Amino acid sequence: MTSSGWVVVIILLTCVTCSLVGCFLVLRRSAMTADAVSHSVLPGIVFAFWISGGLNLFSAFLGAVGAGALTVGLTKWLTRFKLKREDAALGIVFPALFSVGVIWVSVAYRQVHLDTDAILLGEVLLAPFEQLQIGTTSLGPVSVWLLGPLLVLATGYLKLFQKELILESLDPSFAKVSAPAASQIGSGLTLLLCLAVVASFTAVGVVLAIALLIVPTAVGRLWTDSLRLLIWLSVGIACLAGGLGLFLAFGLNLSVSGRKGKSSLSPPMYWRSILRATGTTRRNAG
Amino acid sequence: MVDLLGDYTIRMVTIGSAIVGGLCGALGSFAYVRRQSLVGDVVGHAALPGVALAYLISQSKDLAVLMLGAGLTGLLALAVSILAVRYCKMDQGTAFASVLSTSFGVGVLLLSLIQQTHAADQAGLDRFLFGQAATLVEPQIITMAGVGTGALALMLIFFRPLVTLSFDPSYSRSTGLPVVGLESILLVALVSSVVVGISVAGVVLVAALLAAPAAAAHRWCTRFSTLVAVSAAFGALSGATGGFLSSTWANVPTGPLIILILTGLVIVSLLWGRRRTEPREVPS
Repeated sequence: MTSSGWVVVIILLTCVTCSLVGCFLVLRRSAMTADAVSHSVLPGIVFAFWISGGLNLFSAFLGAVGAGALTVGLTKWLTRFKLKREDAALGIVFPALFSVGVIWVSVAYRQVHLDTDAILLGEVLLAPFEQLQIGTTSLGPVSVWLLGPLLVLATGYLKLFQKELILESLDPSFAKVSAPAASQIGSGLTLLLCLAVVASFTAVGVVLAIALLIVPTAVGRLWTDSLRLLIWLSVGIACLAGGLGLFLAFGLNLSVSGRKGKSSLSPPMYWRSILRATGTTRRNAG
Repeated sequence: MVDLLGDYTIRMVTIGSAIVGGLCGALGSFAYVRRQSLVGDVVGHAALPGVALAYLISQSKDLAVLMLGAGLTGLLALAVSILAVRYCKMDQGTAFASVLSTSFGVGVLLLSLIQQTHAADQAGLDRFLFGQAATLVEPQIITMAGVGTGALALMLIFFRPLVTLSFDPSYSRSTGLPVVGLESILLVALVSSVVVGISVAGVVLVAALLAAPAAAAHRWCTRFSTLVAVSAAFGALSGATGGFLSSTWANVPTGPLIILILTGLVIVSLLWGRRRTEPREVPS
């Protein structure tokens, strides 16, 4: 396959995975957790770099997932026992971890080129060139091998535990009584979130991964009240935005990740859906 | 120590960071009690397209111009997310995350446009991504202090009604307070403090400048006016310490160091603060 063909595959895989996980995140009202996780992966990547002595995608992946899990865990602990305010807890935890990462890079790895821009902003056009090799045969880009299994895992997990996840989002105390494993299943979702954020940094960068996670569902939510429909809608919207963004970016020769973030906003559909939702609200109130 | 403070760069960085810390600490306590601590995150990310636009239009890297651009897009983003919460029944976190990621996308896009058309000119704009206090000079400090004084003056003039609004919106509405006007005033003050904060801490870390001092101060006092003062003091203290230390140690960036000092303050306050448990909440 040509490298631009792989780019399309990577973008679409990222879009589908992120929007699927994002659906359940929005349902749990923890959209800002995605934002926090996406920032705090930096120290995890630096840690992996320090341990393994070089930047390879696999160890970076493990480190980043660890940092993401640490963020979620710390925030949960602070919210439950100490601060009682999730927004303040998030606003303290992820900048602290991010600071550790930035200071670590600038003190210890000044001469080494650890490209923070590429991690934060992403460069999908380079992704096809990092090939997975066994012996002498190359099996396709590494990021496809990360994203593909992740998509299968995410779909399986969400399908299997759909009932518990919905129950825990809508009525946490009832979920605690009726399904004792519900809160563990919820933690599993945040682990999926970490995986999705980290896997998509090759495609769109960690910051704009938030756009792919949250915006499709936020837009879709304005159109429907049915979860089944919402899932299909947000996957569709994400793929549309991804494809359109890629098309425009190739056409105009701009930063691919930047255009992708924007294209979820630019179709007039976004504004139409807001209008429609306010219309519905008004109908219900009248 | 006195000798070191005589050094121009060190003095400027210390003073600048102290101003930023104090300002964000004071206004952050309003965001804290309103459960909107992540406002800083939204405005911070949304400032990026503003900075790029201001540069594209004016072709200058004057801090005041860039800050104006940042403030305008920050305000716009915040207004959109608040309206989305109010009129589209969107969850606050969802609205914040959508708005901040899309506006950051626009910002990255504009930066890559600048990089292509004005080659190598992007250098001065990068400071807004991670913050760069080490290059602060006197005119920039005066600009920052000016904006900061404006924001603080707004907060102090309207202190009483703003407190009423933050703790009990429905009561304020029923007594005929101009709720929309007051809320706009608070937003303008918050956005200006965030924009000042960005030039030292960068768009990502500014969230903690707003959230952390108030969270730490809340462990030591019960009255809101004391909370504002203590939180401003915590902010200014860690700003000054971080600024001073980072300009004497080689290679340590200022913004992250300030945030780590603030985090330390939060940890100390959580462990040994006077009030270990959260008081009864005012229902909102």
